[in-house]
Amino acid sequence: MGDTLVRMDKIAKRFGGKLALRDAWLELRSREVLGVVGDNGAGKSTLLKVLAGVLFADKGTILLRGSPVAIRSPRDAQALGVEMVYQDFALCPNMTVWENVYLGRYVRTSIRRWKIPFLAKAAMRSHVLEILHELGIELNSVNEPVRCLSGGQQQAVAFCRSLLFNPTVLLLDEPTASMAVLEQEKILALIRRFRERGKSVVMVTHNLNELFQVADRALVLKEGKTIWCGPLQGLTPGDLAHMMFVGRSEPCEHVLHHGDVQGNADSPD
Amino acid sequence: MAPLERLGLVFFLTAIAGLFSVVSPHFLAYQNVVNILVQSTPTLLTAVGMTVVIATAGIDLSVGSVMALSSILAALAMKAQWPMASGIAISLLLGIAMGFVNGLGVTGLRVSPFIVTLGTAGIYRALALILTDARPIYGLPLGFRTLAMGQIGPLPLSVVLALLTVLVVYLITCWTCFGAHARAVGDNSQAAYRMGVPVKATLLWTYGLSGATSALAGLVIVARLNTAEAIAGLGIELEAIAAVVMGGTSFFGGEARISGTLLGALIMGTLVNGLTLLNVPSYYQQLVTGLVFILAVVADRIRRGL
Repeated sequence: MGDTLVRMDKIAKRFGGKLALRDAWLELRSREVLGVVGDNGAGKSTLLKVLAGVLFADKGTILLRGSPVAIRSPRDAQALGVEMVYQDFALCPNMTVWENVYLGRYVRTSIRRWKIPFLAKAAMRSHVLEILHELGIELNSVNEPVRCLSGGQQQAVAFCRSLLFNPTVLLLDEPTASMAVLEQEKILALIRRFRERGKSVVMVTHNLNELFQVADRALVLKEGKTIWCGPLQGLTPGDLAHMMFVGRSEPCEHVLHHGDVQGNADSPD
Repeated sequence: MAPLERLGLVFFLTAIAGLFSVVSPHFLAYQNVVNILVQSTPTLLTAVGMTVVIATAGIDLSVGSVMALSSILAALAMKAQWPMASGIAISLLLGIAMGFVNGLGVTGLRVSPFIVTLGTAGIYRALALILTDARPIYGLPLGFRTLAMGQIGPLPLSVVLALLTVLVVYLITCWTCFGAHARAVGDNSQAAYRMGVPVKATLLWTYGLSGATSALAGLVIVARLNTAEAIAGLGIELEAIAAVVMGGTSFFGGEARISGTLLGALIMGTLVNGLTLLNVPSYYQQLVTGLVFILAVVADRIRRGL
């Protein structure tokens, strides 16, 4: 675990009349897995989507390695090395595996002397095969439409896509929801491998046991506010659940390390 | 497109051609086959642009009006002694511009493509009527009319032009980022956006492309009739959409089957031609077109198991 890689401060996001986030912050260190937990509607996915550039926060700042960054679109986030695997995988069912993996970032080439660019299909296909092989995922063909794949295979495609451009930050929204136990294990192993390779992972989850298996630290959101963030060592799933549903009754010492955002964390609901 | 489905369309086309050739001895005459191709050209051109629009899960009901307005302005320019090339350029650019207006309505106003293009269809048609006072414009330069009268080998120039357009749009849908983006937007626009696809620009250019192919269709008709009129292309959207759906491109978006559209347009053209040879009054032709369209949509639904 290293120094702070991403810092989101005082994030607020309103959807119509509903405040999804009102005072959320997040600190992600390099080479760590940060679990984000909270009750339904606490704003977990919204916070991740702000960092992924899918949603633009009404208020708040994002710092990457200490300098402020503007993330106004998914492209901005991608350019900064932030990739997200969505809960619904964000796949186009009628398009092939490789078309989905490269979606939005197709590689082009052109015949010598001709200046007309066209898709470098062969190169993209073989690269997708390479990544899938590296991830230990077996698919019949990368030319199959993803609607023909199983849920696990579709998720593999989504993971493959997030690794395409060697990201520094990986955001996972409920990566093991709707997965069989065996596949859950695979995904947790995958997350550990990301960390070993020096990547940072933010993972939204409902499953606290799983969180304790893989995460280094956790962040608790309640009603759009970050109410706690700290290491999981010495805590039980019960402690986290208490914070998620009841809120924090006493100041937690871990927060004291957090410096300037401490005030936000401590203000009661 | 699945080879089996394409084979099915080829079989269907052969079957109706066979039927007509039995009933009418003139049907398979060289001149009649060329007639079918020439008559299918406007439908084919609008249908090809429409295929990409439908691939984005959209629809363009303004193709006929775009044909009329763009070709009228081109005709007016040529009548005012502007060079032929500028007339053609004006028509194509106007077609693209009218498509952009459609695209802006779809992306900017967040109104469904059906509503936007139904509205602009009325507006463009009205502008065409206002500009010409509903009077046809005759007597275009001879050079321009070679578009209709010229031959390349055994085929009329307009047919060759249409086939080239089909080829170009096919290459665009299969081999360019734009084509893949258009299909992605139709398949799952939210996923496309999340992955960094420029959704709005893609839609804008898709409707622009449809405007361009419609303008080309307008030029072909004006050259053939040597007349530009505000009622050109009336009701052609039905034939175009029918050709697209028959070709296997789904209304649900995510697929663009250009080769299917080519076959679909030929089937529509063959049907209309055959009915004419059988002395069926032209009033019945739209009835057939409408029926074929609904059958194609139902067949598509059954094929997808919905």
